[in-house]
Amino acid sequence: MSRAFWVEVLGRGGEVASRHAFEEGATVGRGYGNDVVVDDPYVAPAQLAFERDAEGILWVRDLDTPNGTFDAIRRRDVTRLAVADEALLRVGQTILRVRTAAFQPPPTLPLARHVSPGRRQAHLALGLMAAFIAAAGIEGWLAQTGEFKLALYMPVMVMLPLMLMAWAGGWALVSRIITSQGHFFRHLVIVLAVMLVLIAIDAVVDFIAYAFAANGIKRWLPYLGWTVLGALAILHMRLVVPRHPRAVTVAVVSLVAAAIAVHATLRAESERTQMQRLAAELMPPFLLLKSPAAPADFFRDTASLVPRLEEERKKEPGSSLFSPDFD
Amino acid sequence: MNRLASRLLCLTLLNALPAAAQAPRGAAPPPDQAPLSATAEAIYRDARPRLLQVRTLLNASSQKSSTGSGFLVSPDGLAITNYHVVSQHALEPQTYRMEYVSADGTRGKLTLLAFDVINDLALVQADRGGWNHFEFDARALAGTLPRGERLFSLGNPLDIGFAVMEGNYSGLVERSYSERIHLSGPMNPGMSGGPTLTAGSRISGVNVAKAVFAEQVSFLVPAKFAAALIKQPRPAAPWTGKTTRAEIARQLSDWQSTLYASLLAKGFRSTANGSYLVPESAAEWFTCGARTNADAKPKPRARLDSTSCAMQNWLFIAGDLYTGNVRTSRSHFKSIDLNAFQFANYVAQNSHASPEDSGIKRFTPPACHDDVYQAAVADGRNGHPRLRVVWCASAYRELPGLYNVTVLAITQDRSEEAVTVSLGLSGVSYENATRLAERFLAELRVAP
Repeated sequence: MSRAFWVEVLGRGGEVASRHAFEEGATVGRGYGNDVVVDDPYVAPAQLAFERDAEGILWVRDLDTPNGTFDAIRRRDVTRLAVADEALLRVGQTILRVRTAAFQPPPTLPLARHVSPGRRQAHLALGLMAAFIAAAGIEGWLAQTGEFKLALYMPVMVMLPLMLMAWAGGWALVSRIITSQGHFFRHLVIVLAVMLVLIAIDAVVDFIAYAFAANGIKRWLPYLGWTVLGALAILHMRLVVPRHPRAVTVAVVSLVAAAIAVHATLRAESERTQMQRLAAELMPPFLLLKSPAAPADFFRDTASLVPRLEEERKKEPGSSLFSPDFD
Repeated sequence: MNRLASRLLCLTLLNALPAAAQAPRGAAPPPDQAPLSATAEAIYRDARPRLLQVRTLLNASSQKSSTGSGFLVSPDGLAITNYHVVSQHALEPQTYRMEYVSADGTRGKLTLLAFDVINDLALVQADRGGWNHFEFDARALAGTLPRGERLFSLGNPLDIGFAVMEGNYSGLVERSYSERIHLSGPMNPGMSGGPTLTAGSRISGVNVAKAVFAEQVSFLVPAKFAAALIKQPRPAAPWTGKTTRAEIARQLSDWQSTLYASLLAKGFRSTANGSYLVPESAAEWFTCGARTNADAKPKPRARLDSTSCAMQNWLFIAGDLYTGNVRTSRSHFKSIDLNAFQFANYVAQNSHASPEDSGIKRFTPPACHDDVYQAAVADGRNGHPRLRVVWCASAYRELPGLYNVTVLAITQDRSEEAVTVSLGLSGVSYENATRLAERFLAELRVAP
């Protein structure tokens, strides 16, 4: 078996910035006498030494440096560490990956129909874009009750796709700056998939609200929207900062929770001080699945509103948060 | 929606608010009129000492916040005016007080004794006795005044001095649930609560309102209601705002009980609208207006014909609170070239029934219930279509037992034709709203 081992200096996006092969030993540090020179002011001039012991085991040893050496796999400071097949070390602000010949690379990805992964993403994005435009177009058509005007379809079928592409482009730019890879089509796939999910959720909620006379479930739609938006942010961010998936999730989830809390507070306030409109959204009657209530049942339900109204009557009228009137 | 009808009978009450009172004198010269007759001259001279200007003053600043008129009905200082003239004081006695100014300029305190919000009347007591006073006309009390008889309206228009205006008795207002006299003569803000006299200087009615988009169409409260208010037993304790509100709630509750019993007794008649028989009230107190999109341009993709009806019947409670109205509307939708989804959207877009009178100071936010509904099928007549019904109710904050209720029903049995009906009830008990709505919905049927 080959005694070779590789020291790889990783870039900020996790990509390999430089790779060095050794057999017996090597030194790493900021000083120019080292085998691997690292331009990181937090790294000692003599930071690490790689050595083999009598049994041939590869050891990495911290050379008593002020900032020490951190085992990024087991997440602890180390002074000495045996490297079987792989080690991930943080010295200063630099990540070093050490791999021996014993390291087993992951299995080869199948190259489907001779299409490169990049082109596959592009094809997927194209398909999703077509689905999105079709869905938006059908939605607009079913809602259209006036005469046909091409201009009415332009915003959703042309402007919105362009805006989504600009959105993906923006994320690709950020990705490119941070990780040196743009992933434009992956970003585009993410945003299109999320938009399609939103359209689907909206359609399903509308259907349930109509079919079962359950308009109440629409109350939850904004919260679902915030959640989907959070998922979108997590998916994008994971491409931009691939090395901290947990931090990204925690940050986005807390932002979404904050947004939902603010939304719920504002809504509770506006419900107390403003009036709601009555009109229900309608669909063709053949989609109405709930069996009708008999008058006695219906009016028993309306009578059950009285205690709520009486409760409200005893309260002082609240002042409106935004405008004192509603149209 | 029903703009034409509401323009025809848009009323304005005749108490003057300060803005009106400060209108520059002589800015609007009176239309050319024949010189007042000798009768009018005699009536004016005779009536002047029996008239009062009734002022509501803000306690804090002693500035007047509204003015109206009144007239004496007893030597010891009992006087009649409109409830709407004294409503601020009646509802908020801590904030507003009342004062009279007699024709000779003397002022004094007025006390509220009794009121009738249904007929917009109030009985007040002046702080001194020794007054000349009016008598009621016996023919007016019996309702036998001949149409065309000359009448004389008195009061203090725009706070510029007592005046007499001539008009003619034109009978009772037709198709009105509330009994009001139709006076063909002028009336101006500030004359509210003043008397309208016969040539014999006797009371025929109390000035109350005029039609806005019309000339010389004015309204009087018949004398009999004022006479009844004087005879009514009066509470020993002075009115606090709280007892006033309780009394208003009691009067409105009694009144709406009678109104809804009559509406139910009159029943409904059905009009064929496409495949449906659609109800409308058979009571004669509704004014209706219809509209269609048949001649709309661009050519509509669904036909929409609608009719809205309203009882021209608003009871004044406070400047921002009128009640006692009943509205119904019906719309018939028929698709021309819309598919089922587009048609459903079209119906929804044109069925906005928002709860009316939504001031949060006076009403609670509405509570709504929304369900699929079907009246019993087997009653031997035509079938009842499946409906989507939305019911919204809000309670009057200060008037327990009274609600505003809006009901919207949409037929849900055809993909290309639909009927919507709505009811708007203000100042109604929950039981009466339920009873009327159930009857109303039961009358919506599929045509044979």
